[in-house]
Amino acid sequence: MDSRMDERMHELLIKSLDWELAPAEQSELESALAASPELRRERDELLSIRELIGAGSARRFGPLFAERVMNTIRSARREQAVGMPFFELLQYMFRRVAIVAAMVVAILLVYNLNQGGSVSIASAFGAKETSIEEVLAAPVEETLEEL
Amino acid sequence: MTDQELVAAARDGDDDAFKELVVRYEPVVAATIIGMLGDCPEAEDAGQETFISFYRGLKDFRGESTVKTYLTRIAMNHAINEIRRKKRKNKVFSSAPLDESRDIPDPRSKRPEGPDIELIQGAIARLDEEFRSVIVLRLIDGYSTSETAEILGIPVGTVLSRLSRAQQKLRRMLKPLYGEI
Repeated sequence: MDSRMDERMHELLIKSLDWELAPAEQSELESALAASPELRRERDELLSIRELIGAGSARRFGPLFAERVMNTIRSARREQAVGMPFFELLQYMFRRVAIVAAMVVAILLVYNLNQGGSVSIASAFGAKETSIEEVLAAPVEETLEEL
Repeated sequence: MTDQELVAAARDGDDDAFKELVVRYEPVVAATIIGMLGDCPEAEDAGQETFISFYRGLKDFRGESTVKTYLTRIAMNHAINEIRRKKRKNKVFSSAPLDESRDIPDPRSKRPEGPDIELIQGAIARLDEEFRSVIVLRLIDGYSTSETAEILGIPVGTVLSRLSRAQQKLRRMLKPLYGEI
């Protein structure tokens, strides 16, 4: 084989390890391998290197790596919650407080309606119902005191 | 549980599901990052950053690629960033010419006993970043040439030529070892 042929076979050999050759190229390489002990030695060396690299790689970080990742994520999450801008924090808190507050208001309304003995807006909010006649009939001092 | 089920659960706030993904893919991420950086303290930091980036991006993960490929891509980016950061740091703090491989064992000075793992890592670390990345993805992580091209975002032809040149360099560096297999 001349040097140009050698170079081409070398390229084909390396390519064949990582890519499927065209049928014509494949048979050309096989013929060259059958004829050249040097090319066969080169192929064996390349395969050995690849095997060595594949087998000699580390595939773990230190022990308890997953726990450390989760701890980092949790503390980042806490920092994120603490470092939230004021209005975002307000919205975040509001969503959580709103449902509880609505339930408390509903309970108070029901309680006031029961205590008032009548169904009206004033009794629902616990305000004392006073008619206009009662206001006019009451002495001024008494009305002021009530106010 | 499948990867997709774990991702969905983690997205809904299930920490145990995300931890399971970390345990499942630690070997893939470790192989990529340690292959690129060597077994150094920065490697574990880059590993943690990889999973934290994945966690933050869970909402955007649509399953178009597998979790393995997605994580490998993130890991490769973090490793490359770390290599560049180290280079910048060396440029700023050292007036001496940069020699990335000065702390890396020389494969030719193989000890008579013990594993060859450091020597192989040393040989890979002596390669330039562009050659190292194709060797790590193709020969260590076991991705196909097409997958390697997709992860790195380069044409298949470029992967093949980089693999060819990288193997020639490694062949010279690891010559004292491969006769023993």
